[in-house]
Amino acid sequence: MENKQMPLIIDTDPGIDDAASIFWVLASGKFDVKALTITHGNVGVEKCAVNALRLLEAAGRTDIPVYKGARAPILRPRISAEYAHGTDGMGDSGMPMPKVQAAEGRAASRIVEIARASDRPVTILAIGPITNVAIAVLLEPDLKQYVDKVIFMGGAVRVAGNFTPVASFNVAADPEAAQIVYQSGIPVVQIGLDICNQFSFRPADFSNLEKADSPVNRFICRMVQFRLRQMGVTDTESVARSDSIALNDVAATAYLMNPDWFTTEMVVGDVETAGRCAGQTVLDFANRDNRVPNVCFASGVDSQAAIRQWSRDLCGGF
Amino acid sequence: MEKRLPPVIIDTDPGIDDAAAIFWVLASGKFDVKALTIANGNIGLDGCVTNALRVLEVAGRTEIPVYRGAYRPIMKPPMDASWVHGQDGLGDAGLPMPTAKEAPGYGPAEMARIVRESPEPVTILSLAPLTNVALAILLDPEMKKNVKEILFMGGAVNVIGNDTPVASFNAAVDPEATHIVYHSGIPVVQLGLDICDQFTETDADFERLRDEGGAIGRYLYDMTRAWRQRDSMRRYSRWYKTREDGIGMNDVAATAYLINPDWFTCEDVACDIQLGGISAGQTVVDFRGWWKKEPNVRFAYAVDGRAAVEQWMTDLIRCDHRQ
Repeated sequence: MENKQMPLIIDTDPGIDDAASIFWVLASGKFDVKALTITHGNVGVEKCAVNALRLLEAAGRTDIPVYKGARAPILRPRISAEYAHGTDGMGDSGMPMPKVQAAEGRAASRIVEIARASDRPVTILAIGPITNVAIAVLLEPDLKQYVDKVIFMGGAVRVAGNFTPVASFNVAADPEAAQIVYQSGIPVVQIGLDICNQFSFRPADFSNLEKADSPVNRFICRMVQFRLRQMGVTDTESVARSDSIALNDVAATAYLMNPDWFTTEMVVGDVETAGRCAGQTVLDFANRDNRVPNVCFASGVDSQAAIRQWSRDLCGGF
Repeated sequence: MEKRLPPVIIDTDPGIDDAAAIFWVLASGKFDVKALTIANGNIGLDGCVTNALRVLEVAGRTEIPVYRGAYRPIMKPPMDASWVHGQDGLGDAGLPMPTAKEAPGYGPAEMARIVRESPEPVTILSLAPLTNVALAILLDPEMKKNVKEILFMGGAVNVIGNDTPVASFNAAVDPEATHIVYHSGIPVVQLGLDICDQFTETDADFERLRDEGGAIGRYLYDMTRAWRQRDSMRRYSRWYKTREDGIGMNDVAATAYLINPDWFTCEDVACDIQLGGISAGQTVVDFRGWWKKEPNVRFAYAVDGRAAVEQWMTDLIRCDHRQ
């Protein structure tokens, strides 16, 4: 029987918000998740691979292969975000170590193989620095025939960056890789800080998860507790008065779940690779050079609808 | 004895909006304009020199010296924006050719000399790419001690660029010069597109200048005619919504700060200039303090544009009637 699920590769650096996203994808039951390919990012690639295995085990989905990928960006020294994710990348919340191992093979090669073997073009949900996808582009000149789109959590256009004044973390971590992917001919859906800043998770969003007790939901709640402590917040009440909890990868995953929540526009886009602005996503809304639009830029979103669905799927899915 | 007026040097690449701005500085009667130094920018350098002389002649102020400045940016070939300003750079409106001549000397050297010799700190109103100002700083490191501030029409922070998606024309023409000036230690007031986008001069404004003013009013009406009618300028109108009913003369917006800073809201920020890459010339502001740098720029981000335009018209009309 034909598999009606959309074929999907998740390229990820778990990561608290990566976990919240991957659980959502699995809970929704809408996707044929071919693999998790692991990049350096929030923490180093080895720790990220361990984390991917931990969360697949919690979800009871160890059938999905985990492939380790690039340990460093294409040109630059590695940056990371332990400040936001803890030294283990999962909020140092004492999650059990995995019993299973990463699968054989390197992430970028596996992306190419999976895409070529798929009976339909695959979608890549890229929620970390995009080094693996860039290497896949460099490996296979016809990759664009096999990939439907890359949904990329990265970029900042009309808002300030979260790693430099003009660049978001995932792009700043490997600007050259991002430019390779943006110019690859594969449509890039840019779910950047313009969208992520419109998502605000509130304590009530997590209390539902706590009630629907399951290993996955406990996992998420413990990681969120880390984020709260780190924000200097001890009780859930005061969160409502402070900044909300950022789970940026969930915003990108929302596009996968339902593009109709989003306002988008096809534009010409590049990634700055030089100087002070390296990692900036430069979108030419006026298309001064008459190029073919390559980026589907998301500027607006019904984030409340997305968060409601996220919570519903997680409560019902595990 | 009459109180001495504050000394000002105008660095400019006339340019329709440069002309409108220079007329305003002169018409206001509030400043001692020491010189016009001419930059490459809106059109080629020769044309800009000629236009500066034409503007002064129409204003009856040929005693103000015009010094020719740098013929190209520090690291790049010359650029031009004659597509905005017409073949002659002043809207091909038949402004008479000058009888006066440019003064001998190089713009940056004369700028440095005037600043050094001035008993009071000099304000530099920079309505062009900053090449001349940067060269003056390189020529005379002591100059910065006697510059009150540099009012720069350039930069784009919270708005899109008008030369590239992220850079304004005046900063993008010579990013290296902008970098030199911004890090010179001289106070810089950035009057960039964040401000300029809040200015609109409407068709009705120009009709009023033509009908109530004199020669200057009529010239401004004629110089801007093609600009106001040109559809190509509306291609950014999705972002420049206030421009549906007029044009934005950016140099007038920057000059408004010289006339009355109280119209503006500013924040002192650490600002760096992108060199190289596709973002070259971008003014990058570190609002979050990542760089741990002291503020080097006064960033103007809000303005009562209508009040300034009204004053601009009032000053021009009054001046026209005096002549």
